[in-house]
Amino acid sequence: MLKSDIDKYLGQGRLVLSIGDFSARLKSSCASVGVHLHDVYRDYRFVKFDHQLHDQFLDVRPPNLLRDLMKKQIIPDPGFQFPAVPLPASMGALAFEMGLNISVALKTYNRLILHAGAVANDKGGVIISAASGGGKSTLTALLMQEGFRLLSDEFGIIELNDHTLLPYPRPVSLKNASIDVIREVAGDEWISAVIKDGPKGDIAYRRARSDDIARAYETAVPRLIIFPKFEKGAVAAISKVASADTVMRLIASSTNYQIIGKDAFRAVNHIAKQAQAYEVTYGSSADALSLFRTIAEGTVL
Amino acid sequence: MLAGPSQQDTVWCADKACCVIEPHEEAWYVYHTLSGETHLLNFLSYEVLKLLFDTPLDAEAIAEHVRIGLDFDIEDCPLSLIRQTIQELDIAGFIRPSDKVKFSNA
Repeated sequence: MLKSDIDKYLGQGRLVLSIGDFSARLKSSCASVGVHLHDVYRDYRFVKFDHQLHDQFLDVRPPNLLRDLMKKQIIPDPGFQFPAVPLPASMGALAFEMGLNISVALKTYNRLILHAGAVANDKGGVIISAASGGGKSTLTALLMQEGFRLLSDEFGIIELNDHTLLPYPRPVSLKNASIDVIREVAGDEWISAVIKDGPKGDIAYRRARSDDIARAYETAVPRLIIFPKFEKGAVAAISKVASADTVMRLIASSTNYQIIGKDAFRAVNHIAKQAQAYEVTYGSSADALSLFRTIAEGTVL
Repeated sequence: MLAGPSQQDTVWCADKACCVIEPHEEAWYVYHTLSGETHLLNFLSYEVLKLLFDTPLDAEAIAEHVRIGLDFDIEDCPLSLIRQTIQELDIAGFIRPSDKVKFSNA
């Protein structure tokens, strides 16, 4: 789709972004959202909304008329109420990514959603599950450089019929020090402009590669689960996580386990028994990669 | 959950159709379809639940079966421990008083 058409349909709320099996109808009059789409989403498929079914809706808009005119601010509006702190209008990328994440996390009912990074190679998938700040995005981006394809930076999406990982390859969100770490290994051309002084500090996005996007329909069997734990100055350590403990951790990381119920229960138990799980404590990205390689050597990956 | 205080001779039962069970190394995850809750059971709780799937029993009979099944003596598995386990399973909604009434000879 032409850039001018993207801008036009975005402003009218008639732009649909397709990522694998997911589609989102988008609306925004905020210039920085358009810039973000042209830059970080340049390899994705956009179509004009023609009343087709879509999974998510997102409007990035001013919180009220006043904030459209003075000291311009924006909020992500996914079509349902949730507490959103208004951001400066220049942070359209952040509002867009946050809004789409909230929408996927809270409005997906036909798949199990884990808050996790996910990558895969031809032998299987890796789920990287951590709380915010645990280093899942950094490790996800590092593993992309190791030859893994990106499934998702933010979500481990589990199909309920066969318990495979469904890709949802959006740009990888990098924060603060990890921006330069990934820039160094991936190259400057793969990193977006840095948004300074966001709610969690500086933010930049590592673009998904064309191959990641093209293979967004190819599911992967989860073979390895990593629970990364970043601690500044920590001595690198690996410990195996028992399957019962893995189930507990996966349930805690899910945004829709309680809604899905029995099928979600079956999925987490199956994954925990099928995959090997490890807690990885690290103090640097070099440690994280080295530990991952050690683990991968002992598994099917 | 039992309404009112539990009797010493309450006969308990459990409905297997309401439970989805996933065994792990030394623990059992049980999804209770009626409440939608997920529970993690240890070997003792699971043994009691398993017994009650098959046959309604009172606490003393449960204790006897558990001791035989797990090769425990009375010190390892006193009646008080069984009563506590029964109470926990009752609160979780896994077991309920059976319609069968235990008649005493007295």
